[in-house]
Amino acid sequence: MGDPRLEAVLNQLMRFAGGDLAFRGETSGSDDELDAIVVGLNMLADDFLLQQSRSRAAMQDMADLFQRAPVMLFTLDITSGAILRANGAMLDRHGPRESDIVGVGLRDHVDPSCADAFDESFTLLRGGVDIRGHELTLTSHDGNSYVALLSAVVADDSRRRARCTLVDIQEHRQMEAKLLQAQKMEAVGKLAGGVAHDFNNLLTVINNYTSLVRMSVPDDTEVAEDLDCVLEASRKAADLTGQLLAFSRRQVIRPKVLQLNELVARTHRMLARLLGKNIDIGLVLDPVCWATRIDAGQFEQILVNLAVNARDAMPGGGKLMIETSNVVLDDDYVRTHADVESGEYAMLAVSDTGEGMSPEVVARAFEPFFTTKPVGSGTGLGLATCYGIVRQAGGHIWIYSEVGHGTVFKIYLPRAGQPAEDFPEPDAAPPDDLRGTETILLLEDDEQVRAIGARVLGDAGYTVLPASSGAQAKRLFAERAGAVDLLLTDIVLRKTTGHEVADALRVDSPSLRVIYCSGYTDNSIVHQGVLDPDVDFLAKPFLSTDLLGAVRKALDRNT
Amino acid sequence: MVAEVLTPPDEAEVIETCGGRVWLANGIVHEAVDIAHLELKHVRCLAQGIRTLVGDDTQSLLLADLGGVRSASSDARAYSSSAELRALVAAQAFVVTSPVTRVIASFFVRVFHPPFPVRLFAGPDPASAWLHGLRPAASA
Repeated sequence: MGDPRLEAVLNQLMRFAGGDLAFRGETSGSDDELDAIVVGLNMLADDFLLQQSRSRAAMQDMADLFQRAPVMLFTLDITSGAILRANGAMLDRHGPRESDIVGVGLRDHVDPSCADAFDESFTLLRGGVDIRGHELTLTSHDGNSYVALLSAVVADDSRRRARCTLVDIQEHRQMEAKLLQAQKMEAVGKLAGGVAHDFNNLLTVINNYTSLVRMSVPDDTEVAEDLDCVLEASRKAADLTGQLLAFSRRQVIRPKVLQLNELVARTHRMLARLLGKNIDIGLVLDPVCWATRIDAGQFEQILVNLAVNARDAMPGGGKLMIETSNVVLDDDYVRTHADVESGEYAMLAVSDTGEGMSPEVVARAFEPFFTTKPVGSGTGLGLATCYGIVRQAGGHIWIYSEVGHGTVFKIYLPRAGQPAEDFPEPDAAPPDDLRGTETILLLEDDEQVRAIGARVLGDAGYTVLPASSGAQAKRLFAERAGAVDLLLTDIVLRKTTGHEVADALRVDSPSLRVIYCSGYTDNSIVHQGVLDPDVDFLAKPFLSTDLLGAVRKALDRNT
Repeated sequence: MVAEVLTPPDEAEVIETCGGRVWLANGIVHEAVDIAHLELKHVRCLAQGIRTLVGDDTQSLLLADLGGVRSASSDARAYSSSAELRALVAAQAFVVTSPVTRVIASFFVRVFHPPFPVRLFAGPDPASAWLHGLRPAASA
């Protein structure tokens, strides 16, 4: 035997060699070279164990990340193209068993339409070139195709393996398409709204001058018939601009919190007449359906438009189902539908058993002037109007259709945070006598509309003070201190707004009656199309009777 | 037990920590480590002693005497080369007077690669001279 301390050091080395890294040598306390070797061996073992435990933890982390990553991860033999190892996401999509994937060529999972693109990518990999974000269409084990981005890095340690990721971008692509569609609808809506605004001024002039001429002509003349035709065409044009405004979400509305079932019930009888005997109407109404904030007239317009659409899709008869229910749209739904917020909605579903629509038609169904009906049979504004109304109400409309099987429209209207109000009363009939002798300050910057307004009011006996600007209106008002009974003003003026002028005049005359008039809604008293309460509003284009009725009503009101 | 070679001058303010003593002399922070088995808690104590002496935001020249140390844990060595210590230490000289302390200091330098200049010396004078030579780059 040699030096026992040397034997101890050798023993420590042999134990380490045998894998016993927990063993620690003891120093003698003499602080000499042998003690230093023992301390060094002890520290080596400490550090080795520390590194080993860190490596194990890191490997476990990597294995977990690999296995549980939501992205498809796999390694690929770049000689044969076979998948060597795949993670859980890859098994979910292309498994479900490991044997379905491991050893199988990646090309076998590629959609045949993309085989050439895959071959090009694979050639690059074989040449040792990393690839990043190559778009491929693959077919999953359930037979569904999806679009994914393939990236692959050739392993440094060998030229025969590549580490690959597949990122499913199918939902992203669908959302992108929906977003583009929503943006297109927004742009078309702005255009349509602008056109409607200008047309409303022109129609106001055409309507009223034609009416004036018509009143001066005996009924039984050819001229009278011609003028009636002009008035009828003008009325139809006004309907069209109204639909355009609805589509572009600029229709002036007075929404109330209403029960969806009551709205359906009130429209149901009219629908039965509209659809005829060949079409059965079924109602499945959730008795505890939530209330929603919507304009009753607009809701009726939606239901009528959808019903007419369904009727035209069922020329030989069929069944129209109207359902209501409560729905909670969650984050998953929102993720896959553009322009939708999660939350609670009252849902209206209208389905038919008609001929259905192809995906191409569905994609364009809400575009204004898009129609599959024969020329002259439809304006292409019915569904566009529904779309605009639902969006203006903060809701969301969705179509599902299958050719030969029918179509279902689902409309989600946000749940109102308060109980339903009483159903709005129909507008009161205009007063019998539309004439008057009061003084009316008429503020309108469109010269022709101002002229016809002044003429109609003047002919009815009123004293009219026409003004083309806010400044002129204020001057006229000051000159006739106390003599002005009513301000009739356009809302959108060139340098100011009707609202600002009215506020200024009401400083001196708080009881001044005001009627706002517009063919447009982006302004100070109409927010997202919703009128401030207790505001007298006259929509353009108006007829002389509308104008005189509104003026008389405002003047005769007690408060 | 090998005697410590660094002793504080009479006028120096000496901070006693759980890992040893720390004081400032000639612009150099000195530490005399008198723990046989140096662990993380001891190194932290010493670092806190340096902070008490020169403040949180000063990088010091550090002269360490490992005279009393017989072993050092991995954690202790890892902390001594951490970014936290980097904020306190501009450069470090070790006085190693025995094979054991030489091995311990060498392991620290070669395995943990401290992020500041480190050298081993057999005595305090050449160590101080080397640190003073680095003074333009250091702040204390």
